[in-house]
Amino acid sequence: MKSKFGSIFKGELKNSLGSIILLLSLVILWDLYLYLRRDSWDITLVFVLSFLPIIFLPFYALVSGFYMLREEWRKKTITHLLSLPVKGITLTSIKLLTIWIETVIFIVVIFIGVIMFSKIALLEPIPNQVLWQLGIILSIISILVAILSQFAYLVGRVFRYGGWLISIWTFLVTGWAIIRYSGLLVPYLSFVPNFQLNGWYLSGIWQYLGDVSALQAIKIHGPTTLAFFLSFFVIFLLGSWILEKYVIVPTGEIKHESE
Amino acid sequence: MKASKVLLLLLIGLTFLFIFDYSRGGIHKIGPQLSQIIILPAPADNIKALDDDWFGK
Repeated sequence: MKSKFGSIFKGELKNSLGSIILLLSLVILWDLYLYLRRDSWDITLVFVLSFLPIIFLPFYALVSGFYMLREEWRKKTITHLLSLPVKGITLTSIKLLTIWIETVIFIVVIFIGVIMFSKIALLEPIPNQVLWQLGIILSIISILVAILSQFAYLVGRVFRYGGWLISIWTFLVTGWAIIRYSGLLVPYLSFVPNFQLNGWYLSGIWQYLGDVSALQAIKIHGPTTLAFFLSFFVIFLLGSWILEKYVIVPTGEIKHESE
Repeated sequence: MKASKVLLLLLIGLTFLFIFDYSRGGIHKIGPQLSQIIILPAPADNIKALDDDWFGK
């Protein structure tokens, strides 16, 4: 089981190498472009724009969640994967882990650019705590989006016809239901403490609004956050179960790519 | 009952729930619900402070 996990995971990483290189090149090109503009543009603007690629992270996770599973069906390797003595949750976890690794690499490269430009643009260095917290939040958001897109794709694969339509429908309706109704769990999770994040980057906005004395701490409501995460975990388990038991696998010639 | 039928019924049920909720203005509650998770600090008098006890009301 462990060696199967390892070999499938290795195969996934090998497959994602192309997208990792593409992402890294795009971020490095963007940073290079900003670096060449540092004299003609306002240096603070250059620093703010160095954060820009993080906007694409959730979209990347959304596409990856769909794409990684779609490739298994396109290459017909899903038939082989499901015939292995591994559970559905192992397969979905491996895909999520791969997306998470890609996201972390993406975030680290973006932050290297951000630190570089902060040294040119800012009088004081960015607090390390801010980068850590921002990085963790971004990688969590990416994983949540990937869980939802994975689930939506798998639901679409249960149907013989109209799979894409069902997937998009599932994505929208499930996403809405989680945001709208995960809060119903909050009263049962009131024991979870709230926590705070360093909102250093808000200081610029507060200065713009003319209130330099405003607090910079961002409060995170513990029970609501946990309820939100639990809902996504249930969706993840449900998706893994559907993959193991109910998806329609393609018939015909099978390519053994993951070995 | 086939899995596809169960899932289709669930999706239809959720869609009806969405329509029902939408007709009662539920769509406008998504913003406050998301901001229930992250409570941004508000500078005095500039931005209205977000409600800290939304689910309780």
